[in-house]
Amino acid sequence: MTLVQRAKHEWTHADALSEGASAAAGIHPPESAPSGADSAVVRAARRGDRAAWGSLYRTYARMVHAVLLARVPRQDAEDLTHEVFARAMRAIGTLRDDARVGAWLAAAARNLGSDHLRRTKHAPRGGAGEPETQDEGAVRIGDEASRALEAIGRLPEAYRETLLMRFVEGLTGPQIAARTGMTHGSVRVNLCRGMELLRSELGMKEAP
Amino acid sequence: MTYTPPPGPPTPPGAGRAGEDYLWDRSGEPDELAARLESMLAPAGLRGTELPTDTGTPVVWVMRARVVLALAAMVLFAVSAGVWYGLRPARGWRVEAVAGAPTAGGSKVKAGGTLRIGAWLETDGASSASVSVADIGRLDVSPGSRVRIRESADARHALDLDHGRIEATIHAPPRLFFVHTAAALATDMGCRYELSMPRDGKGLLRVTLGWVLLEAPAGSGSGMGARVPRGLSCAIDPVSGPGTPFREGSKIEGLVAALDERGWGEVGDVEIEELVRGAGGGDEVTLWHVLQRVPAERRGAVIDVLQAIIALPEPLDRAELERLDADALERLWGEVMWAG
Repeated sequence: MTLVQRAKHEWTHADALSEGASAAAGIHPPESAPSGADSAVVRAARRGDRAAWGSLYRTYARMVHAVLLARVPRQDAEDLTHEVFARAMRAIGTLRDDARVGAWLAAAARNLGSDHLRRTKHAPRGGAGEPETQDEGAVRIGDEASRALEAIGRLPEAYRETLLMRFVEGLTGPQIAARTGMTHGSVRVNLCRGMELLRSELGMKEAP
Repeated sequence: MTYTPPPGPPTPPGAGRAGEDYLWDRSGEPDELAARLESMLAPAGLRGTELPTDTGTPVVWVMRARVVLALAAMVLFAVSAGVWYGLRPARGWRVEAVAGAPTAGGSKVKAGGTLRIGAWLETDGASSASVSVADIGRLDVSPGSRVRIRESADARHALDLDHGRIEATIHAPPRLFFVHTAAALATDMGCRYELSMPRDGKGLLRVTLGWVLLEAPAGSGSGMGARVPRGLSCAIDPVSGPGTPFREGSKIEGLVAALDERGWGEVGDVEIEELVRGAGGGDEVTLWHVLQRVPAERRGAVIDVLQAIIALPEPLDRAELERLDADALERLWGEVMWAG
């Protein structure tokens, strides 16, 4: 039995009727229609299913962490990632489109990151390109890695986030697109253009 | 359950300069800077991919907790200090004798008794007991068992199972209840299960609801852990720790047990042939674990067996699975966990 079949089996009769009615009414246009699996996980999360939240965390936490890393000091990003999901659990009712859960979480992370900066009065990344500090609570990284993070921190926000997802969190371009809701084209541009700027920041020649 | 990303447009062949394909999806010739950045910056990534237990409770739990707290506040306001004093939780869990004469801390268990933290609850061949696990569930302790509370706090309740058999029914968020044995740590993920650990020989976990995460004790150097969902069992070896989860009665049960014993590096053509002939519906979770245990050159054959049993969603990349890409494995877990 596939996940879709299992998810359908687990739905209440009312849920199944509702889903069928939505599809028949064309509420979800084909190009943005969530798969049965996506909808099942988010619907379960809406019901408070902890396993579903665990699944969402496993899928989106790294993306959220990268969004935060683009804004807040490194030693704060992990705790704030947990806070994003804690808030998401309480606010899941405000998510309008289940298929956009990744974009919704990314937006929540950006808001929380900005709030955190205002509260703690830390200078935002990318402003003065402040030095990376090896603070307590953050895993120590080498000097070259610190310089690379500082350089990424001086890039425009869109490129910063995408490069952090790619190099810090290890997500590929397709994975970044899937998690953020961006198109493949947008992610590709962010990666390529961001990489060009990063080479320039690092004082390196462009790739052939 | 897991997220299945929607398919994207194909990359035009030959698009971009050298290294752009690598930057995009790690295909083609590696871009030197990209590869170096990946290696240098990975340690700065998020540690852990499991939802922390203190992340909070989903909306439904919060609503229930609010109602309970409101009622509790009203009750406390209405009673005297002496009654309130008596309502304080005992330093242990409630224990009842179900049959015979179990002992707690060396003394016979009385009606309304308490199993104190650190005290051993022991049942002989003719006795059994029932323990209330804080306020999150129940533990049935079978004859011939020895257990004690290791710790009991808001965010963590843990038991030591020295030997014997327990049946746990836990109705709490995952990662709140743990059972330590000499050879494995069982982490409850919201479920019901039986865990048997004889004095010598192999233990056995049987899950009847939800799922349990089995890990070797920290620092043991034992092999891989196991995720054991409803309907499956898992042996626990006193030396090597958790085995490979299996469906009792499956045609590959014996093969899996033998390879757990001999070591999965021994997998050859004969074993793969037996896997191909014997695996069927209900073996998906077993095969998910087998994929991560066999030598790299055997992974393709295991994927073939899985594909014959279950309709794998399109975005799953065979090459990623053969590399044991963490993301691909999690997506596959989302499929197999619900299969059968």
